[in-house]
Amino acid sequence: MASFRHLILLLLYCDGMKTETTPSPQSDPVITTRKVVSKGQNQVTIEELAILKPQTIELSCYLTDIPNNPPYLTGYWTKDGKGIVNSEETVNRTNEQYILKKTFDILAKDLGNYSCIFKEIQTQVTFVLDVPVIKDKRDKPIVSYTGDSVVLACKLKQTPNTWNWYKANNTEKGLINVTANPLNYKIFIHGNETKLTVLNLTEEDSGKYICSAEFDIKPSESYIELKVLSYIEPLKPFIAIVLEVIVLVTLIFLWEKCNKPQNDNISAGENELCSEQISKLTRDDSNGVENNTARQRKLEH
Amino acid sequence: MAQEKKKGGVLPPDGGWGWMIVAGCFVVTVCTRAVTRCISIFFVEFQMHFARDYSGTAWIHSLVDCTTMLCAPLGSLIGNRLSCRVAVILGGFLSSIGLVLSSFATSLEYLYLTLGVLTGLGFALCYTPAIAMVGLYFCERKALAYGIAMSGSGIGTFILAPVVQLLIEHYSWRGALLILGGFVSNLCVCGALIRPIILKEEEARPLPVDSECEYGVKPPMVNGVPSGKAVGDKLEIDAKQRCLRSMQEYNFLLIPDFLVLAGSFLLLASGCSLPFVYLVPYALDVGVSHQHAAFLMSILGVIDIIGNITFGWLTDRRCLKKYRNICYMFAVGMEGLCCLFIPLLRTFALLVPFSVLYGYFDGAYVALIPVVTSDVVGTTYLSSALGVVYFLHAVPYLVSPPIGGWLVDTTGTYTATFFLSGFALISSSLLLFSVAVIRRCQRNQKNSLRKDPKWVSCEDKQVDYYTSKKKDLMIIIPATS
Repeated sequence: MASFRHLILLLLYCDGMKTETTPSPQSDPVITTRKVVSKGQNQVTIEELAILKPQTIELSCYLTDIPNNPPYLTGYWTKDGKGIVNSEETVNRTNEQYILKKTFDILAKDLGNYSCIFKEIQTQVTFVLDVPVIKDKRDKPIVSYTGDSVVLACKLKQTPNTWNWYKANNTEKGLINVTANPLNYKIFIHGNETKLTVLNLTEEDSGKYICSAEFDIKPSESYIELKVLSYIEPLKPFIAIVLEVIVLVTLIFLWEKCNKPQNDNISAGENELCSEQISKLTRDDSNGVENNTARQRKLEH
Repeated sequence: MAQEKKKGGVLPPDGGWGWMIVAGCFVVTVCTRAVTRCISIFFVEFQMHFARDYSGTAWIHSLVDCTTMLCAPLGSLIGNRLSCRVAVILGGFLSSIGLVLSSFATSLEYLYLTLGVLTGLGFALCYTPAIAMVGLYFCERKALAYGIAMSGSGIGTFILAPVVQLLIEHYSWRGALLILGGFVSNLCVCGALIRPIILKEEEARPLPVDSECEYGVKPPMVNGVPSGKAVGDKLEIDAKQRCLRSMQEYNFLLIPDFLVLAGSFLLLASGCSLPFVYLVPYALDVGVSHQHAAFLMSILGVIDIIGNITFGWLTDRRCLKKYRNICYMFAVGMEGLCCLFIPLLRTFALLVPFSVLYGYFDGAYVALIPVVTSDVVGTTYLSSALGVVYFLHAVPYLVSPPIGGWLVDTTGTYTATFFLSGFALISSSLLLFSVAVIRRCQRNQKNSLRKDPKWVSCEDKQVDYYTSKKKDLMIIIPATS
């Protein structure tokens, strides 16, 4: 009995020993797996994976719908276009599928494009391993004015450990320290987004601002360009348009004034012409005018 | 016959300087309606700068629209009292000052005041008088003139939207608002173009445009002299053109036809804004991509312009002119019908014909609103009537999109919203139709009893004037006896 108990205890102890002593490259025992299914031949598939921390990852390429269904295929792995040594494998057909897997330990220097390539059928699946990329980059610089304030924002889907802002001077990066410059800068960090408010803008504040999302493995950076203008810039087109308006209005009023006496002269001339032509109607008309004015006067009471 | 140019009385020119007025009204529509629509482009910038969410900034657009429509009667009042020219110039001044001031905004509430209230008020002062003037200058080609003038909102949006985007990129929203303020000051130029016109006395009274005697406005006649304007016996039309007292100015409100028209406008305004607001969200909901959804809106906008001009030209044709009201009812009814079909359209390919049809009829009825109004109330009261008409548009415009949104939230689909819009439009059309039918029955009953004045065409009016010399026959004479 005792020996049996001892055996069990020993087994448990050894089991515990095993998990403790087995050297594992990852800090947590979970290996992430990513698989991509590629159908047919002559295919190129690209899959983007966001890596937040150093980890061990198993990449799998599943191939289906291969014409002629050969009994086996040879595939190998490349990193950033360069073949990985000793990665060539023969893959047997299992249930109309060909599966090629490989486990990689990913640290900061190991980020890149990993591809499994099958030569015979010219099929390639590329896994892009990188830190999350800050997407909404503006091509155009953000414009603001001296004395005004501006808000620069960066956003990600995943939440980083923290955010940092840098101002780029030519090739150098200077960290923006809010405590050192509380009057000029304000940084707001809320999970997966951050906002930098620059107050009391001056012309020197123009330039490139870099927001950096700090992850365990590597920071992810994106830059925003800021341009600070003086108020005179938009004032020029504004004054131009207002001048144009004033000129047009003056022209229109002048034209109307000039035409008015002309119109009166013309109508008077017409009446004279008509009466010269001995038209009974015109005489009636002029009578009608008098009648009308008379009637108006009459109705005025 | 020599044309008599009485001092203070001409016929609607139907051309000549009238086209300058149309151009001026076109620019007014561009500067008011198109700029209002382009203000929503600034919202993203405001949200970033003032750290507010979408609903805070959306209030600005509602405020501008609401103020423009609610103050429309004020615009027509100033147009009547002072002159349309003064009203438009004043409006242009106010709105450009509003935009310039808002470029210095320090908070969103400041923007509500300068952009929402001040600019909206300025727009209101311009909009109604400009539209009313077009109606005075045209008779034969009124619908075409209105079509061209109203197409300004569509064409303006089309051109201004990318321009505003460019301005924001180069000068940020402050500079863009400043330059937009300069652009809007072109309203003063339009005001200068609006030359006052003094119409002959017949034109001043509401004519019985009994097209096919559906809509008759018979001036109250007392001993053969219209008593409508007889208060104070001021039958003289002076240089101020319509120096009516305020009571007389709003006499048209009692015309039963106008009341019916007003009711139908209320229903119309409740239904017409919903599809514009909810088409893109609905399209995204059924799986159309972002670009395709935006393309739907562009189609809507472009066909809107085409509908404006072509429908205006069409209803000016002799054969259709008598049936103008029927055309209007048809356009509104078809719009409602299109809306009812939306829940069945679930792909981009099916939504494109909807956009085309809806856009066309939307443009069609917009061009006809001032025409139908002037047919009912005549040219004297046109300015005030248009003020009231646009005022009636204000509250449903404001209220129906949130109600539509509430329906979407509670029912989970867009069907209820589009059904609401469709039924509102169809009932607006049916209301007019049923009243027209009732009138026709009434007229048929009375036909044997008395002779009704027939529809007087624009040339016939001329003939009547020239042949009548007697003072008490300065009223409507049957065109053919």
